[in-house]
Amino acid sequence: MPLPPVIVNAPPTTQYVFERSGGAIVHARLSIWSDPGLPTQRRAEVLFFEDSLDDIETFTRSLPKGTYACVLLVFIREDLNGVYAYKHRVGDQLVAEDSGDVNVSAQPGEGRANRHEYGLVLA
Amino acid sequence: MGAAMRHPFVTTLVLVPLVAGAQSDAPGGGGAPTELHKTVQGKIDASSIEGLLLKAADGQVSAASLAGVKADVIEEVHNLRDYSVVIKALDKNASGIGFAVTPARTRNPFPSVSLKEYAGSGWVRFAASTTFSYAQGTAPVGGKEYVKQAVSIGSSGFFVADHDPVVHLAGQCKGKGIDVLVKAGLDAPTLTAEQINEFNRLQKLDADAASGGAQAPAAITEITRIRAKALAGEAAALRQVEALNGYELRRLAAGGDANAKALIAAEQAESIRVKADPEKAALKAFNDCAKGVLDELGKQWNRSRYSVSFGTGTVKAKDGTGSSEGLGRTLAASVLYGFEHVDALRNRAAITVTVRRSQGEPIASTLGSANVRTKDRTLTGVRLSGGSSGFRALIEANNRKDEEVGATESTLRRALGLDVRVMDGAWLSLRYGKQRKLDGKGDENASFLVLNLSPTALLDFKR
Repeated sequence: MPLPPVIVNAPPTTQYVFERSGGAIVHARLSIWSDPGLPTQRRAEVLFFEDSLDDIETFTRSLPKGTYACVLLVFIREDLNGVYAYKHRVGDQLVAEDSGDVNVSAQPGEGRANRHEYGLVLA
Repeated sequence: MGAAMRHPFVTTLVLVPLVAGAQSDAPGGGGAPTELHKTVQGKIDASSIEGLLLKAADGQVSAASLAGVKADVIEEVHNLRDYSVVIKALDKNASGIGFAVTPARTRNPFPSVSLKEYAGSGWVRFAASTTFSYAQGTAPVGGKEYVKQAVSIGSSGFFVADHDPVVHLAGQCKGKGIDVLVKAGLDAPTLTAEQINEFNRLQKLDADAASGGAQAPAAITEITRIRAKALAGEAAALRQVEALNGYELRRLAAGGDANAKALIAAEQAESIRVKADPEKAALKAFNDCAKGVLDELGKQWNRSRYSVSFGTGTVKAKDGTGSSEGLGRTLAASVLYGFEHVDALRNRAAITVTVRRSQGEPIASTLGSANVRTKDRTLTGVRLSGGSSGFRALIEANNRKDEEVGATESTLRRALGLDVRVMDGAWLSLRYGKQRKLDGKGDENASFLVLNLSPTALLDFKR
């Protein structure tokens, strides 16, 4: 059964949090699109969560009230080992998470890429 | 009596450098070194100074070296499937086999540390780099086959966190993989504002209905209406019901319901992973970057580091006769300091101290006899190496002491190597070595001078 997207209701000034753990490199990038699906659609904000040596990265951003589509791209690559876990929160709401091990064979440099999409209503 | 008379084998050779010959066909495009001068006094092999130098392996002890098997038969255990290798290795009939496991690098890491913890503490890196190894090999001794089994434990690492490839890579190549995904258009939304607002309405209906609050009756009424339409086969209502069921599942999972969590995890496992082609391209982009970064790091040959290891084992006749004898206990340690704190020497020089101590090592010729004798060995050495784009130097002193009951032999060795670039593509190399045994027979010396017509020095510390 396909799950409906997570929809986050938050105030215009909100924290965007990315938590990670494990021995793999985990990079993430959040694109926040205003007017999704409309001719005026554009990236209102792009947040880079790319410090793999940090357990938690937090950005606070103020955006105009409205409806946004958010796409979180996550890139995982083995380093100390392939074990990874991450969580993405907007405010206090968990909107994306995954965990596992990308080291599935003797091949070096294994990894994977995930894509999460959710709606954001700022009011 | 002079030294030359005590040693019957004394030679002095002066060879004329033949430039044409020197430029010929050495591998890698460089010219073969031409010997200009060579002096040997005693039994030293003066073809190089390598025989007088400590080897990298002297600073480490491994199960493979104790068991007398080649390191390439050692299987690295990464995950559960590889443990079958361990079972195979424990087979008494197997020969020349072994395994090594670094628990922190396996699928079920122990200790389980994050990259932040790994980068933040030298002790964590020490623990996470600890490797356990087992090896088994057979070797003939006096016409009889013996089986050696050995175990070892060791760790190694860098004193500066960013010198560790794991830490260094974690701070590099940021965005290299995701850039590829973005270029493939994967960060573009598929949801429209209209859909988001509709999903938001349904999510709120589910939450309100479950809240038991004042808004619950109206929400329940609306959900009932939607379900009735779905039962009547209305397509839009069917999609709304599907969404309502999904939000109910998410709400239950958020409340701690294990089944709901499992259902969501199962659905997500398939849906969140990007397609194979962009994922492969992203990985390639990152791995290309990683290779460059790690190659560059590898060129910093004098990063301060350490290694410490311990090994022991047993040896027994393969045919089962005789008793099992211990292989003794060997402890080895090596520390390299790269002068990071001295501006003039940073990236130019390193000093290495190596210590290796073996106790109770059986003397091979006595194996199988009623009285197996053992010996202790101690090896210590200090090496200073360094250089610049036009100069390379290496100076080392080491002492090897063998002790057994009633006999002690000690050998002090010193070696010097100099490479000087005399012009582009031509290096002049000087080697000198000396060893003194505490047996009263005096010193043995060797020196030679070579012209090396090659773009690189013979002393290459990066290797």
